[in-house]
Amino acid sequence: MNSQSINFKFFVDSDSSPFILFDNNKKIAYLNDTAEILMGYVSKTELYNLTIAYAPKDFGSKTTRLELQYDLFAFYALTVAYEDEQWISLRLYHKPRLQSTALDALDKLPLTDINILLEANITLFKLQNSNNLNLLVDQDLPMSRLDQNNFSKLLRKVLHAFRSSDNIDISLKLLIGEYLIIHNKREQILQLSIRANGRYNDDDLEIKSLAQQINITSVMKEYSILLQIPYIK
Amino acid sequence: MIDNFQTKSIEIQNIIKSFQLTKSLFVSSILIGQRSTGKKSLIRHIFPNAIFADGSDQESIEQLLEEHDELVIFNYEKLTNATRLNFDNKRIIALANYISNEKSIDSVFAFIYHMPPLKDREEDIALLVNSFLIEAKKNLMIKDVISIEYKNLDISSNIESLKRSVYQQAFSKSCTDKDIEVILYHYLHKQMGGYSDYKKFLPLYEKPLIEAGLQKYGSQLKLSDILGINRNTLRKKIYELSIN
Repeated sequence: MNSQSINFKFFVDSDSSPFILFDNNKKIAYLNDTAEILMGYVSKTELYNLTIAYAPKDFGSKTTRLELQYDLFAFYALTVAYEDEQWISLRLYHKPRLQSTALDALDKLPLTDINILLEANITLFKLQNSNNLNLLVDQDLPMSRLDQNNFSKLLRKVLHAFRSSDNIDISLKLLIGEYLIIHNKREQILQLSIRANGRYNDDDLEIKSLAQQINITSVMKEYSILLQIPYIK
Repeated sequence: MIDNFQTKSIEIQNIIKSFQLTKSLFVSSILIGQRSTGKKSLIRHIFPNAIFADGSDQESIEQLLEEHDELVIFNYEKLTNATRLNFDNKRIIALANYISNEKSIDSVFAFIYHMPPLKDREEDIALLVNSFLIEAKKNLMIKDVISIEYKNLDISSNIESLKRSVYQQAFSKSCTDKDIEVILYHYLHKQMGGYSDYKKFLPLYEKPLIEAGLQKYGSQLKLSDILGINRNTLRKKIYELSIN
């Protein structure tokens, strides 16, 4: 097969996994669309250093299993490849956001007004805390399928992490232009963000595990917790 | 038991608000608070048609969970094996007088509420006293106007002791000579049978007589005149009866 005439760039651009090609001056020679978005969350130098650290000893390619997290991007492996001294590539493999075992159960979950769950949890939080809460939500969000009990537990834990924060900003919105594919259907993503001037991180592992159980992506930072919720109608 | 739950406590009003918001959802909640703080009345008020089951009977709870999507479990702390219960996709409201395993409660329940004891919700005491007084007057067929002495109310066992002390005051402030005689008759009939019983039971009459007199007239001198006894005799009685 003569591959010279095939436009590989189009296929690599369309790949949902980030792909970056560095030249021998540590500069980026090419990056696909996903990698371009990733660059908003991680520096070029960090990715270059990662490439060099996991490069094969000789010409060729090497895939290494490695847990990486850059904001909402989570990866479970990377491949570094080079066939001459001039170019070296890095490809990162996305960690699946949804657990396939729990996917079948999603359709059976009750339709829920997420704003009610949020309001009930905020009321509960206010019973024990006097922090100032600023809420920015879309009250007209249609109902979505949600594990009501586990999601409430998750919200309680997340809010508890901000128990000593002075001002807590909570926002709930539908992400524009980002989707999840579930059962061959494009589903929207709802993003809940809780931000303050500081927070406790003692429950972070539990928050992560609870979120995973119900197919929610969680990102814990020093001052914020972000939840991305599959919005299944 | 008060049928219609009444409260002026902001804390309890917020608990009600949160329950009202989630009452149609399939979530598990627990309300923890001392005995007799009104937990059951509050839940009955919010979920009037719910089935109530006693946590002392684990087997019956397991059976009910198989048949119903909504269940109120009171005495949750008495369950012999709470971990065997499956609350998935059910509306569970548990009521507990105390919790022995905070971690297990935290992992099972989405909403964890704490019912404040009566001593922390003084605004509710007047509300409850008024309600119990109306009930007491109706049940005891008391026509007189009764004014309750708040300093003598007992809230050591929350609503239970409060109700008892309201009934006591309502009765004691409305009873007749005949009622007192009947009470004393039954008491003495039960207690009598020792040695020197006359001397032993006389303080039952003398102590309240002198205490009430001192409270009413303020001085021993005046009270001795009113009672028609010698001042020294009165002083001696006060000492013997350990009256302050």
